[in-house]
Parts: sequence; structure tokens; C-alpha cells
Amino acid sequence: MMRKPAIASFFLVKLKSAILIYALVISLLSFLFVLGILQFFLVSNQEKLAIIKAEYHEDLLLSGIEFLLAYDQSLSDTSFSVDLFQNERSQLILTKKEFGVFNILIAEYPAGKDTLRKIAQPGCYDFENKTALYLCNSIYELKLGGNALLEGDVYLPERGISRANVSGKSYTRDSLVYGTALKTPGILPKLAQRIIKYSPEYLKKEITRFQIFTISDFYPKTRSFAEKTLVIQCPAGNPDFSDTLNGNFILYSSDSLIIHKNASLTNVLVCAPKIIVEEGFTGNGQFIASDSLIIEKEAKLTFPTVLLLNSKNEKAQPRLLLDENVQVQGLVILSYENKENHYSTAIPLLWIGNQCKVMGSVYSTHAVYHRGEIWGSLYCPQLTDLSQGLNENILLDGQISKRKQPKVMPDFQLFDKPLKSRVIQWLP
Amino acid sequence: MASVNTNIFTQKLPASTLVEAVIALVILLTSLTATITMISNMYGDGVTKPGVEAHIRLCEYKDETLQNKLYTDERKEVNGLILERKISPYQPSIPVNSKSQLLQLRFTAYTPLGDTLSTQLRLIVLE
Repeated sequence: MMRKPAIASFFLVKLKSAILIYALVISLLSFLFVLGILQFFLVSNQEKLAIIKAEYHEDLLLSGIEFLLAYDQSLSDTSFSVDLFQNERSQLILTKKEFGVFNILIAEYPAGKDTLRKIAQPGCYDFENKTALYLCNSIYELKLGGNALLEGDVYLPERGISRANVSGKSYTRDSLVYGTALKTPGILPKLAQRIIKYSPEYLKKEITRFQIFTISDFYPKTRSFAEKTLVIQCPAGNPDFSDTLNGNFILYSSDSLIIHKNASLTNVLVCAPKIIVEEGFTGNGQFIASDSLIIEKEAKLTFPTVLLLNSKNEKAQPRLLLDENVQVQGLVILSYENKENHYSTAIPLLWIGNQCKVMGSVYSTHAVYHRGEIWGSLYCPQLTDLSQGLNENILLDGQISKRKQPKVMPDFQLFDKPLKSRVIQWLP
Repeated sequence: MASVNTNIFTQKLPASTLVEAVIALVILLTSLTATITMISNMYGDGVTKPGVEAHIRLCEYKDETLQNKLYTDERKEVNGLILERKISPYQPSIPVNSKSQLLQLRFTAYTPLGDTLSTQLRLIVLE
């Protein structure tokens, strides 16, 4: 005789009562039903919980960045762990590091295997600064010709300001200054130490700390600022660059670099003694040179961009040239130290061509030839228009307006005066 | 040999005694208790419907505060929830110098009876 299965024999032999069997069946069915409902709620709740957790982490990381912003001025390159809200769930690793003229702020939250991260680039805002033009040469009066415009606070030479006819163009406006005219203190404010130190010579030593690729190597096109900087080196005989780089890269050459108009650069540090950005190029980054920095016409350097020409060459004058129709959103700085004073500060080493537009601050230790528009501030010894010789202080057709400076494009720390910081962009 | 009807729904089963009825009751009660425990555990995760609702309201409240820079203490009632905003100077756990003032924003949602439903914290640099 065949043996009955164990479960069947349990039901048929052991359980003879209908109520027991029905109770078991009802329990089983209700258990399965509840399990199904629970599973549904569990999935739905896990999604909600994940969203709530993500929002918590987002708030925590943003708070970490705010913490770094508050202490931005007093912290040097550093990485430390902090329990932000003094509870076990708010342990963050905060990092501040220099990347050229900019600072990079990183907040990291170790969540199991993954690390959640926010990377920010801070800028500064100075609501008190309304300076449109700051001249430090106090001898020659400032002459305005053509369609020149000064809007904001203007620091003028002792002899003041006048309207003039320059190259046959008379000054066209009613007022000379649309803002406040002030007397110049006679010296230019000193650039921040951290800006002055950046030059191709300085970076030549610095890049030895990083992994270096030559341009013919296979290298990644994007790099997070949470990782170590990668250096892409162009050999001296091959200065052309037409590739794509996005993020934490230094594009370096010991001689010269030509950025082709098809190149794509985003947040990259470009450094060489001579840099040429070709006509029609669009992108952003920090361009640091020592001999010459030439931006050819129609090039558009988007926010945040830094053009820094930093030279101590006694033998040759550096030059920073923005050709016609160039747009620069950020900083333009020319710093030339020649201790023996071979070259007068009246010689224009920074040229801003016709229809050029700079949105941000412009600083030059030497005279500036300005025929374009500056929506921000210009600091220089004097303005020069070559048609009238060097011993004049002339602004012909050039426009400077502090009021037009876009609020979405804050300044960077030009001087050592501490300023409050805020995030200007989130980085990969 | 007569075949055995193994179908529990059609076979004729003998009636139950009081003891068997009690055992059946115990089985049902146990299963009910297990069900309630599982459901209560699920709600114990903190993802209750009022909790989620409070979280959403608190997020809106926080966004409004940050957008309009409303850095003052406040307590208000929204859709039967009490929303509270408390602002205090941030006290860092590590010694650091700063010229900027860092504020701690604490957003809390309560039931009308005063039970805490959700809390959110945020640091902000005072401009």
C-alpha cells in the first residue's frame, strides 16, 4: 500500500476537527495577503525613505559647503573631518584646495560603499565696492573723447577730468562721471599674494606633484575635482591644442600654447609663457602666461574665466591683448614687475580692442588701451590712446560701468582684503 | 478498498470539541498578532503618511526660508501641522576663525499635540 504524503496524513489523521483545518487555512491565506500588502508598502516606503535620505544628505552636504565658505578666508589647503550637527549622522569630510587662482571646496559624506559628494567653486562679492575706474597716476588729467562712459565711483588724478576732442571725436555725453568722482590715493591696491604667485615658472614646479600625460598619450577627457589633478603637457615644438578637456586638468607647455577654435575647455587651467586663443574659440578656464597672452577676435571666454599675465622679465615687455569683439566673463590681470624700471608704466601693455566686452574686474600694473566695454572695475596707472602719445591720460570710446556688472558673475579675491564668499558654480 | 477523500473542502469532517475550538482561536490570534507586529514595524521605520506629509511641508518651508532669506524664528500652522523655524548662531565642534556669521537653521514639524514628525537642519552663511 502506498504511503500517504506527510502533510496529507497530518491533515487526515492528526486533524479530525474542521474548525482547526479552517483556522489553519484562513491563517495561511491571511498571512499571504498581509505579506503581499507588506511587500507593496515596503517597496513604496523604501522609495520614500530613499528620497527623504537623499534630501537629508543634500542638506548636509550643502551645509558642509556653507561651513567651508564661512571659513574660506582662514583655511589654507586642508582636509578635515567634522561632525557638523554633533550627531552621529552628520559626519563629513571637508576639503579646501587651491586650483590656480580659484579655490575648490569639497564636502563628502561616506554612505556605505559610496561617497556622496558636493564640489563647489566659490567667488566673492563686495557690495561696498562701487569702483568703476581707479587711476593711480596723479599727474595728467583724464580726457574723455567720443562715446566714452564712466559709471560708478571714479578715482581721478589731481587735475581731474575733462571732455576733449580726440582724433576728431568730441565727447558726446552730458556728464563726465555717472557716479562719484574721487581723488586717487596715488598707488594701486596690491594684488592678493595668491594671485601674484601664479606664473608658468611657479606651476612648472607644482606640476611635478601630479600625473603627467603628453598630448600624444591616451588620457581621460573629464576629471573630477575630487581626484588628483592631471597634467597634459604639450611639447615645445607642437603648441597646438584642439582636444576636449573638462575639469581638473592643467594644460601646460614650457614654451607656447595655441588653443584651436575647435578645442573645448571647461574649468581647465591653461599655463604657458605664451598663449594664443584662436579666433572664434568658446570656453572657459584660467589662462596663465608670462610673456604674452593673446585672445584673437570673436573669442568668447565664458564665466568664470581668468586671464592672468604675470611677468618679471627685465628684458622684454609682456603684453595682454584682447582683439576685436572678444568677450571675457571674469578677471583680466596684468602684473609686470621690472625692478630696474626700464619700462614706464605709461606704456600700454594691456589692450582692450573695439567692441570687446569684459564682465568683471580688470587690473593692470601698466597703462591700458581701452576701446571696448568693461562691466565691472578697471584698476590701472593710466589710460592711453596712442594717437595722442604716451604722456596723456585718455579714454576714447571706451566704456566702464560698475552698475552693469551682472550679479550672477561675482568677483574673485583680487586684493588681500577679506571678502565674503559664495558658490559661483558646482563642479563635477 | 474505499478511496479516501483528501479534499479538505469537500470531505466530511467530524465536529469540533471545545478544546479544538480554543486551539483554532489561538492560531487565529497568533496570526493576527504577527500581522499587527509586522505592520507596526513597518510604520516604525518613520515613514508614516503624516511623517511624509510633514517632511514635504518642511521642505517647502525650508525652500521658502532660503529663497526669501527669512532668518528669524517663526512658528505657524499649516494644514493641521505646526511648522517651526529656529535660527541660532552655529557653534562649530572644531575651533575655526571666521569673519562670516554662520547660522544654524532648524526646521521642525509637530502634530497639534506636540509630537515631533520631522526635523531638518541647515547651515547658512549670513550675507
